[in-house]
Amino acid sequence: MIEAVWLIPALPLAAFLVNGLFGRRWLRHATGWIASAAVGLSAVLAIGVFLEVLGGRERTTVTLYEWIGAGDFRVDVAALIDPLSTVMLLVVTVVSTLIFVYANGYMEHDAGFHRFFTWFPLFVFAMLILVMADNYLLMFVGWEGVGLCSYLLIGYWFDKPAPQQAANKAFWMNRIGDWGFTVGMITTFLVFGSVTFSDVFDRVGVATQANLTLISLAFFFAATGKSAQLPLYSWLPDAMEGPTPVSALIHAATMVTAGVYLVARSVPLFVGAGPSLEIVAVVGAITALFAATIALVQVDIKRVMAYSTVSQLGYMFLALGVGAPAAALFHLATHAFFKALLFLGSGSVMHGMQGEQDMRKMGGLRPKMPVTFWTMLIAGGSLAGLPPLAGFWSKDEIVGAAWNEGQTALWAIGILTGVLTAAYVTRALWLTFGGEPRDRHLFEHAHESPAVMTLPLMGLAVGVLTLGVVLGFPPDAGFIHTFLRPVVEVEGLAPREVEVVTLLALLAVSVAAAIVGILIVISMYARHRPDPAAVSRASGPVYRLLVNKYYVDELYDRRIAGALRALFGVLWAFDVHVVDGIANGLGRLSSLGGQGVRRLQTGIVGNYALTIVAGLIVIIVVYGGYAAGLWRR
Amino acid sequence: MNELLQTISPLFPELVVAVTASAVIVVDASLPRERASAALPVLTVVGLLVALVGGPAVSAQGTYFGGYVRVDEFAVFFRTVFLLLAIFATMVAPAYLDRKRVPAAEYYATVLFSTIGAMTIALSTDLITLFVGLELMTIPVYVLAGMQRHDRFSNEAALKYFLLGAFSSALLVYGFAWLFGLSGSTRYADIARTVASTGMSDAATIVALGLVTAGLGFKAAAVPFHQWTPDAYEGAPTPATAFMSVAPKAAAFAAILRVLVSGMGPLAADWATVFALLAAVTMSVGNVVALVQTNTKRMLAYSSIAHTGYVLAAVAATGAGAPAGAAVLFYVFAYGLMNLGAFACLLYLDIEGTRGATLDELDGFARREPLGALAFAVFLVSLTGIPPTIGFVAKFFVIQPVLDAGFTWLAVVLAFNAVLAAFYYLRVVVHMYMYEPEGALPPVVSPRLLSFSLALSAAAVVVLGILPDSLYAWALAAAGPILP
Repeated sequence: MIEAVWLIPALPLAAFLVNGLFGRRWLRHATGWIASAAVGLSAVLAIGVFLEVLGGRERTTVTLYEWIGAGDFRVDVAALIDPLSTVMLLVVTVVSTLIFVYANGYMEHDAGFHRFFTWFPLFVFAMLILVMADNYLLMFVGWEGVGLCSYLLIGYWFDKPAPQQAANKAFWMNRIGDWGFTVGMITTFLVFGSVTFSDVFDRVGVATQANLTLISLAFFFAATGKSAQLPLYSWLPDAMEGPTPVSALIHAATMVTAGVYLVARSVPLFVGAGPSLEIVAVVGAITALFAATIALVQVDIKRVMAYSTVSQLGYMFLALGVGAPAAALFHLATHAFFKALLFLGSGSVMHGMQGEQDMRKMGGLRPKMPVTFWTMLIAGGSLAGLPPLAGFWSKDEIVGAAWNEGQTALWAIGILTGVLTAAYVTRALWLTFGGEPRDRHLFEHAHESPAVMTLPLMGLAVGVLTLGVVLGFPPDAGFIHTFLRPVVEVEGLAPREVEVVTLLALLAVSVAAAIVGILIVISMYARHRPDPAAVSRASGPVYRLLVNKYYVDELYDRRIAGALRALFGVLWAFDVHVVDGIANGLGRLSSLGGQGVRRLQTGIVGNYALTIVAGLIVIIVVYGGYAAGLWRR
Repeated sequence: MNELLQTISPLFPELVVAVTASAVIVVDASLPRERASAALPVLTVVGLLVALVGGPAVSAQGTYFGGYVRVDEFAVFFRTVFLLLAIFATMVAPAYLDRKRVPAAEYYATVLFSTIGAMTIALSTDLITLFVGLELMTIPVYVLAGMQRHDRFSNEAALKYFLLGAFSSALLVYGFAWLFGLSGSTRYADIARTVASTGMSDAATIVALGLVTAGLGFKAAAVPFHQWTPDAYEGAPTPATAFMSVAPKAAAFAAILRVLVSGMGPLAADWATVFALLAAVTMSVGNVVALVQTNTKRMLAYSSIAHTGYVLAAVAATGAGAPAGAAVLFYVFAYGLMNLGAFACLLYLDIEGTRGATLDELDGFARREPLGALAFAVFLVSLTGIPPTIGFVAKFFVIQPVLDAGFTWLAVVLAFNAVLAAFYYLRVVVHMYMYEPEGALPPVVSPRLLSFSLALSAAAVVVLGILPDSLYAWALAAAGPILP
């Protein structure tokens, strides 16, 4: 089974090719089912691979072919199948399958249906390459591939200006992060003489701490771009301009976790790298808190979820930073399910509300959309961290790891973020489903989505209900921990023994934080004590700061982009006048030369023959010159 | 009987092609016009496929016919190249031949005869075999150039090509005579022994070397022996241009490798620099003149001169050993695939006479013929040398041995030329994809067979650009026998 692992990405690739070539004219709506079936088959294969890894084949390299062999530089197109990549394979394929099915319903009336189902499986292909790669270079191929697909799918409605701008923004910010990836990769090659994971990690000892710090921080910088962390996070909320299945799959469940995967994969490089892990932890924690505060005041349901994603990814980096990669991966898996569910649920709401995303126009939708409501409630509870839902187990573990590592400040940030998380998700669900309908017209026409959309919701909900207990119980020693142990157990990252009393106390604090957050919001919105409007008035400047997202976009646009624009203006002038001048001059010079030679091309045979003789004489003279030693070689 | 079969079996592919060529003429005479025009391409392709598939099985490696012919890995490689090119040239032609009322049977038969000549060159161990092959290849190509008999330009092209070709053949044969005079033999091996002992010391060797360089340089269209190329290419019927821009050039390089690299290998240190200079001048002149062309057919003609320069650079580097030889073979293969394809893409436009499309006539071509435009774009990108195409890999393989042989300046010139070439190749892509089709444009015709063969070869250009390993390994093995 593992030997056939290349079939897993091959199937979505085949779907991409078939749909791309024949979608527009012949297949049309069949493209949706072709893509879904391909991804579904991949999921089945991934489960087969998982079972074999579970059966004891902990580390297999499946080489497809030698890709580059130039001197010392050798790179294979090869897959590394170990517990870490297997978890990613499973998450990507299973969540993709459900979202693909859902998208069949969601995109049904869109004119670009076939185009959507051309790019969508291509994304899955690129993502699978990213997680399967056994070296940094091949991973970079997947890394760029998902970036490209993300760009294409954010700008899917390319006839509207907002998606276009959002796509460009996402592309540029990701490019800035990718620069870190290339720096990290090149430095890795220079230091270790290889970019293959196993070689690099075996030779960690040869690198100095400065080497490792540079490499790990470069990779982490790349991760902040792809995984939307400070300072490169602001493209993700804008990326919500894409269709909702895209938001769910690419911008919540899979692509944005690539950064987490990159850091988890490279943990051996981070461990010996001085302050790198601390930096990861601090950036993660601050991003988590920062994004959660913004999510608190957003009125667009998808934007709430987008900031929530940024915040939850922050948790994952916090986990990596405090030396708990298993917890990060655990949270990655559970988050993929509950966040995908929240997005698909939001999509279902929008589907029933004629595309409305503004929560101020919703309200009271619970009886109209029972399935959507209940499934989103489960996902929301999971996000808030209520036991026994999936998110509770994974998030609690992260916060607990921070405490055990002695990082009390980070732990406190984690708990505070937990309160805010519970608050904003409760607020979003309340504004959508609770209270009185605020837009009569939309409310009257609101309806539950068709089965093709609600069934995936239920599938994901089952995952959210069970995954936490199945994978993560008992805490820190659950299935996922034993499964991942061979990969994530790195020297210098010893798991700490924690007393049961401490564990229970930490649990209690986490749950209490969640409940406090929920109760405050319910009190505000259901009983107007205190009234939300009054609160926002009273906290005027703070509220405005949050609504305007800390003015980060403005800052980036005015200061950084302004400075860059000035710089680029200079570069542009240089380009136009100097580089183009040279290029055009060269072209003009060449043209002149060309005209000259053209004149030699008289069309008269005799002249041509004469040229041949002249050439012959020159050649004989040159040869003769060599022979006579007139000029040296 | 058995003995006879055994004697001729090494030449199985050549014989099959010869029989096919004769059969084409006979079948054409005995069938009504419509049925013949459908049956002939099929017959031709089948014959070529039999030669291609049966060749390695029937024709065992070894030296035959009193030592005049040798079947080795080198010969097998070139046989394959020539057969593939002939198949390709056959498959793109039928619709054009019909439209222009070019006698189809003559076209296919001439292509086949020319192919036999090219294959003979690859088999040669002797100047006599080589010269017979060379003439057997070029004379049918003169005919091909003039096949559109009612067209003035086609006639002019054929006549010019013939006169200059005969002139260059004379120079070449004169050079062979000097070589024979020096060594008393026409065998490459004997010549190599002789020149190894004499070196460049006497004038006779210098004259012989100069004449051979000029004669073969003409066949490969190296500057300053290139001037026939644009006129002949432009005037010839387009499918014929596609064929004559690749097969004779590939054969010329087979001849250069046999005569210069194996026959005069001991003097390599002396002629290498001259070839490096020739290479630099050839690629630069080809590219610079291509830059100012507005007619794509003529532009491609000049660009094919530039590609000669790239291959000559690899020839100059044969001192660096097998990788340089492999680079020549690989480049010849890649060039054949992409250049024939690029010329064939012009067949989509129905234009009077033999003229090729101008840049303006290609405006919005992607809108009018998406598949053809895509294939054209792939070939042009590959000719430019952009990954992931075979053109990129081929240039990559050339640059490495050029550096190893110590011609750093040549590698720089080569890279510079690749940039220059991007200007005019990509300009065509821009016209096809970014301009609106406006005004009176020539009508588009899209014959299925043409689209099919172009799709196939464009796919090969990309696939071999990503997975060049096995082809390169083969080229490396094929380069073995000719390097000392």
